[in-house]
Amino acid sequence: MSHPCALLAWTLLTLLGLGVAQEDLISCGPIVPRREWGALASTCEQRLNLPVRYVVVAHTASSPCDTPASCVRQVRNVQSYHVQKLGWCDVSYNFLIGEDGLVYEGRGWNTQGAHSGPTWNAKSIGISFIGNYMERAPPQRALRAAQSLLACGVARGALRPDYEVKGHRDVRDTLSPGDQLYSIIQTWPHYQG
Amino acid sequence: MLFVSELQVAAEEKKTLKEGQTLSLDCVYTKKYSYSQKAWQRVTDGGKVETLAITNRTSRKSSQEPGGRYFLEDDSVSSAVRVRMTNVQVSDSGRYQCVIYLPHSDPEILSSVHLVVTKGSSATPVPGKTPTQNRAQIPTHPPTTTEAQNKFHTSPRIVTQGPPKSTAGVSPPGLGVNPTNMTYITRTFVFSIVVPVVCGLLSKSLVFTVLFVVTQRSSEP
Repeated sequence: MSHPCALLAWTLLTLLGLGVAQEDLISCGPIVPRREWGALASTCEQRLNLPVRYVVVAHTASSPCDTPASCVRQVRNVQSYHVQKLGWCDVSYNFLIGEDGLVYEGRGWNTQGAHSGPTWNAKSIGISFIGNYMERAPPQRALRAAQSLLACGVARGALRPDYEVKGHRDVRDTLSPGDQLYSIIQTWPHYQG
Repeated sequence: MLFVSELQVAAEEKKTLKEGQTLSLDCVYTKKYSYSQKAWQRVTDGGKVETLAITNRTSRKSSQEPGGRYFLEDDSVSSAVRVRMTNVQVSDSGRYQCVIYLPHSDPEILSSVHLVVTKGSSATPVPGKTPTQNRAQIPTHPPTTTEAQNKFHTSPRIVTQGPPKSTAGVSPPGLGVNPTNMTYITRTFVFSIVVPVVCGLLSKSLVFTVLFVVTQRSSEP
């Protein structure tokens, strides 16, 4: 009598485990999802052909934020500016990184961003550090979060394993990602100017 | 197909066209090459390189002979070279590359393409096939749960539903829809509402099972 019960218990436990392993969480560090930071719904329709070869690193040139609460406010501000002032379908970046060490979901892996012009947007993932990095550098935890995000991208098949990192100023006429952050990303293994 | 091309050349893409169509592609480059000359070249199997079009040093558009089939335009604002090859023929099949002409070193390859041109009008892929392919990617929750429901038969005290009834309940029609046609919102709905509900029910059953067994054991003499 105890055997069928034990078998049943183990089966249910296995199913529980399967249910928890949702695709978005496999191999990835924590990413704050859109609903959690109170995103406006996206009306973007252009998808990205995955895997993508390029990652463009930018900065928002806004104030930085170093707590989850203040970063949620900043991400909403950036989205609000892009959607309501500039009339875009969503925040322009695929992901944003706060000085709280957290990654915030923007357009995500599957939707084209609006950060580097139509040609580069169709071939890249754009990630942006929240802040202005001309004269200061982002803290280590933010840089770690970015690296972890990119490793996650490779694990999920969103980025080619031989992906190339470019600074925003490498592909657009802009100061972004700021002198300090640009110097840092030039030391990254995947960076190729 | 993608993995095979990755083994050959790191940056190679494959494009398949029918005769008469136009090959259009963009080769992106970084700002440091804004003022460099770019070229479109064909690479033969033996490794020989033939330059088909080159951007003019001053005007950025390629100097093309009238009636030429190769068009190259350097869009330095977008930081990309736009390539067009009109009226492709089967004989055009082969490897091509976009390069930067560098003054004192070998040209830098921006991207390479393996072009395959097929004759006539080949059959277009049957739309019905795509949903079937994607159906395979749907998580196997329904079948697994059905199996578990079958196991309930061995302990009739615990569950009273028979397997056919539970199968109908567990395989919602929504999961038969092609996931790539689902919007992000629908997919989020399926995964973030259906899955937790099912898991919640299963975990409650597990807890009841354990409690029931424990009380049975303790009440036995």
